[in-house]
Amino acid sequence: MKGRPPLRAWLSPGLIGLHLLGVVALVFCVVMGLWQLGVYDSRQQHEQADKQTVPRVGLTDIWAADAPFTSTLNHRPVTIDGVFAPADDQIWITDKEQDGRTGAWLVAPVQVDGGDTLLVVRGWSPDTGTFPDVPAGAVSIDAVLEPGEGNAGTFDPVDRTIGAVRIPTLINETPYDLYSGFAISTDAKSSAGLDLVPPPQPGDVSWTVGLRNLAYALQWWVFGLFAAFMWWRMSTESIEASQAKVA
Amino acid sequence: MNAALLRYRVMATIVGVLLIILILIGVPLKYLADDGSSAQQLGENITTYLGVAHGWLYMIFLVMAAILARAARWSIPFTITTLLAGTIPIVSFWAEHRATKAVRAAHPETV
Repeated sequence: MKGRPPLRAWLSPGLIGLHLLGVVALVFCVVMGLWQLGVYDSRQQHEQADKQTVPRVGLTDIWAADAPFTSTLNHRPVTIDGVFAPADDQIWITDKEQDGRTGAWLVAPVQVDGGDTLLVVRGWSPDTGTFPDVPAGAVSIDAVLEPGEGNAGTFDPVDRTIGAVRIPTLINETPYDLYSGFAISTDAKSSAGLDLVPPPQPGDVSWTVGLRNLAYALQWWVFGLFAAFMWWRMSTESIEASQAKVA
Repeated sequence: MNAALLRYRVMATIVGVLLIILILIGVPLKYLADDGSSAQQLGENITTYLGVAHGWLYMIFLVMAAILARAARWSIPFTITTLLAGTIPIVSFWAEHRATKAVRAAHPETV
């Protein structure tokens, strides 16, 4: 019958070295893993910063008519050259919150020079109602591109309201050939005195940016587990061996 | 014993070769070649993909080495040095050679 080895067997001089080695290996692996995780985080932050400082370009330089909305267009600052459609063609997008209040976005179709028609969010209004006038003639608007929204609910043809900028629905409610995304204007000139809508921050940095460092972090921790396992096995086996000699 | 030794040697060879490519070719290319050159890009690719692959393969190597260590009843210092030597380019081959010799000496029936 094999008895439980006494505690002091764990503290024999030969094993103390093994314990130290185990602790060092485990701490080393954990620290290296944390370091790599930190590198992963900083890569993600750099990528995010890069996305926010992309240069402003003309809309038609990066988005051809009838082309789909790709990820490179997402949150892209652009200049839109074109002409506003008549004021009565504008649309209210309801249930849009801003500064803690619920209101609506004023959306106007803009016929882009050399392109399709782009829906542009001019600003935010606390209530819907009569549409403000649109700027006359050729305009140049600074805006940020966004992908179309979902879950719009139904379009109200009398008040011209809808719950979201859902392009497939709006394409049927306007006489224009619409782009498959929309823009949020950052240009006070075209806001008709309404508050500008702050465009969402690009937060969609793919988790795979810096994946190598995330993989390294995981690997270091698995190595740490392995080191702990080896330490445990070597300790118990060596104690058992010395117990057997004593017995 | 034969199977454990063979598995260990296969993994030691794979990991040893990858480590040489990674450390002695990929890393110098990445950091010493001119920025933007194709050599630098090759170094970048080697360190990215081979680096991660090598990490996981090294784990398999560790497990194989641990199984062999138990089967062959290696001493603790011998086991630890064999495991750690797998992380040093070229030295890993010496460690594999040493381990194979030790197993064959202690267990003459192995081929």
